[in-house]
Amino acid sequence: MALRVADIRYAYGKTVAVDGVSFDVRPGEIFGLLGPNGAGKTTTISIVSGILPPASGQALIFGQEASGGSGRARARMGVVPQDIALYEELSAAENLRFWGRLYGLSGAGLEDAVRRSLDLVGLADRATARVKTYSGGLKRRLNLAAGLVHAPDLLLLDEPTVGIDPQARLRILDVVRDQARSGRAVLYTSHYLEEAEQICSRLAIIDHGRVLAAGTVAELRRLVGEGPVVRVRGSIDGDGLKALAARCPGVSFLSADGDTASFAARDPDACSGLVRALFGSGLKLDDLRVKEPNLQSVFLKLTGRELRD
Amino acid sequence: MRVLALARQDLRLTLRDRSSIFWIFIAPLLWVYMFGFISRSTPTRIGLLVVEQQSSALADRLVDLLRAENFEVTVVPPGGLAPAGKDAPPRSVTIPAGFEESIAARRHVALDLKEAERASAEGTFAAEIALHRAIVRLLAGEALGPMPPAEDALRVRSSWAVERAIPSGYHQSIPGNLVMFVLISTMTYGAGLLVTERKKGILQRLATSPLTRGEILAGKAFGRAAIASVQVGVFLLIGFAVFRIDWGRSPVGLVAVLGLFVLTAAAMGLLSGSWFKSAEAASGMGIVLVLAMSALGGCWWPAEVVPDWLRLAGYAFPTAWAMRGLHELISWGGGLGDVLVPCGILALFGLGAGLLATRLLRREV
Ligand SMILES: Nc1ncnc2c1ncn2[C@@H]1O[C@H](COP(=O)(O)OP(=O)(O)OP(=O)(O)O)[C@@H](O)[C@H]1O
Ligand SMILES: [Mg+2]
Repeated sequence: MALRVADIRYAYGKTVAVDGVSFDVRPGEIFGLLGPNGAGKTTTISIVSGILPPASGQALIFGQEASGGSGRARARMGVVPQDIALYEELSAAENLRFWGRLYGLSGAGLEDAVRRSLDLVGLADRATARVKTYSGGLKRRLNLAAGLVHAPDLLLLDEPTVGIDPQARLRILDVVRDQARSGRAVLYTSHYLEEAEQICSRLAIIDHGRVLAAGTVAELRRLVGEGPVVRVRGSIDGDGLKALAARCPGVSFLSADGDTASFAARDPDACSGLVRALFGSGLKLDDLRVKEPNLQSVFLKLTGRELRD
Repeated sequence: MRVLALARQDLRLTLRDRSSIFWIFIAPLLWVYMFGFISRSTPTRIGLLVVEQQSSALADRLVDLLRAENFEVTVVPPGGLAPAGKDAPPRSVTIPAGFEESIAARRHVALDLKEAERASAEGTFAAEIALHRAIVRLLAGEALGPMPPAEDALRVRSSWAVERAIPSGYHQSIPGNLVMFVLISTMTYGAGLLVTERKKGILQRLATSPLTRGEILAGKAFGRAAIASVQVGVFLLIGFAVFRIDWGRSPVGLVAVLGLFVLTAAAMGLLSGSWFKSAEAASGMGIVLVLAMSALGGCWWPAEVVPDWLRLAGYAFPTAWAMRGLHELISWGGGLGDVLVPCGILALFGLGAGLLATRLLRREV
């Protein structure tokens, strides 16, 4: 096992940030940690990478704690922090050289590694420009490269695609997938559900420091059933809709949040029954959609809230 | 090795900053020159006009003795014209006609010492004393027979309450500015860099690397020490090559004082860098603190010229101990034994600041 997280807990003073989180990440797998702002993703990564000591529980990297004195476990992991941690006054290549050196790289090996990482994230042609002249998206790509330069066996990526354009995002997702394909274990946090659905082989949905559900994307989808999901927007009243759903056979109420509400239908027949009932109820609806169940609907069912970008 | 990679990074980032070239390499030269010029001691040679109304062997001997007293003597021979104007010596002494004969006959002789309006009272006072000394020598020579000038027959051995010369000129301004600039470099650049690393999460990222916590802290301390060492090097070079001051007779003592001061300054930079919330606050407050410590510690003017209570207050800061150590070597000719106390106290300052900084940084790494 590349990473084994067992029942970790952490609180900042009175704020409980992580409240008994457990999961495993195997070599060659991308494991997603999915949750809204403040769910405890970054705190979890900080505990795993040895920055924060867990109040209880344990996180083992290839069988060792990251905070161990020898640093052997840390040498095998590459951390990409959520906030860009780079030297603005130095060029991309100089930044990567610095990080590479700390992992014992030197000489031609170091230069190779630097070039390879720059290529990976598509920054080879800007290698000598100072980081402070980079756009936010370019910085984020370099931030990722700095975690890859020493070819770690375990990657801990904390929202590596925040704030970058779709094209660059696709590129980063490709890089992450390639890393997993070449046998590395990846822990990937995000609050983009679609992204997680695309690249994660397994994932855990966390909120308020707790894992609400974990499994493959297919397994999680099954939590809301195989049938379609109906989502409405308009001037709605949660209790009324809950009662309406109870009157429709094969329909279960998922959530009501602000001006939107969602329902899961067992099959297309149940779905048309629900839609008829909605129109018959005299509610003022601005929008109504019928969709395949996805992580969005899973999240809705589990938290009663939408997860928005 | 990895520790050195950290230190090297700090040095490179400092030298990368364009303003650092001015502050580390050019400003010291200007400051040393300026402060050295202001605090140079006043010239010791006092101009004196000797008007001889009649030549005699004894009068000539008196003139020689006055010259030996370090006067800038201008002799006006009998019938000669005394120089006038701004460049003329502001004091004159007249040797009357019949000087030699009167002395031989043990008759009363008066030498007239006159000062011009622009003469300084201290100079005239010094001239009067020196004139008396020359006369005593002259008469002793007459009474006891001629003697080599170095071995006066009669001599006063005096002991002074203040044995140490007050440092002046470049012997004051080079050590003074060295101490100040080294602290400026660690407490503005050194501290600012560290705050930036903390704020950007670079320190946390370092903590996820294989480096141990000890290595990271040591690396950050050495980084500041490297910056301080470059600054010391600049001053040694200026001192040797440009102003040619004497660094004293004890290279070991000098290395000890400078080495411990570098480490202390590094620890103080580390402390300020782990204390302040923004790089601007660190370097802004850093400058204020350094200037205050420099003034109190005797970097700007010799501690010997300020009131006692102020001089004692200065010893609350490492600057005063660094200055004392350097003056022991440079200005007072001391050796390693004389700098042990300043070195020990510098080490305590460094240790204290280092431990405090380590405690603060433990929050991050
Ligand atoms: N340094 C801190 N001091 C106090 N509370 C904190 C600190 N860091 C995080 N928290 C709190 O801990 C909880 C979990 O925060 P964390 O940063 O782990 O969430 P996250 O899932 O990474 O969120 P985001 O998506 O916004 O990055 C939040 O309630 C947050 O306010
Ligand atoms: Mg986060």
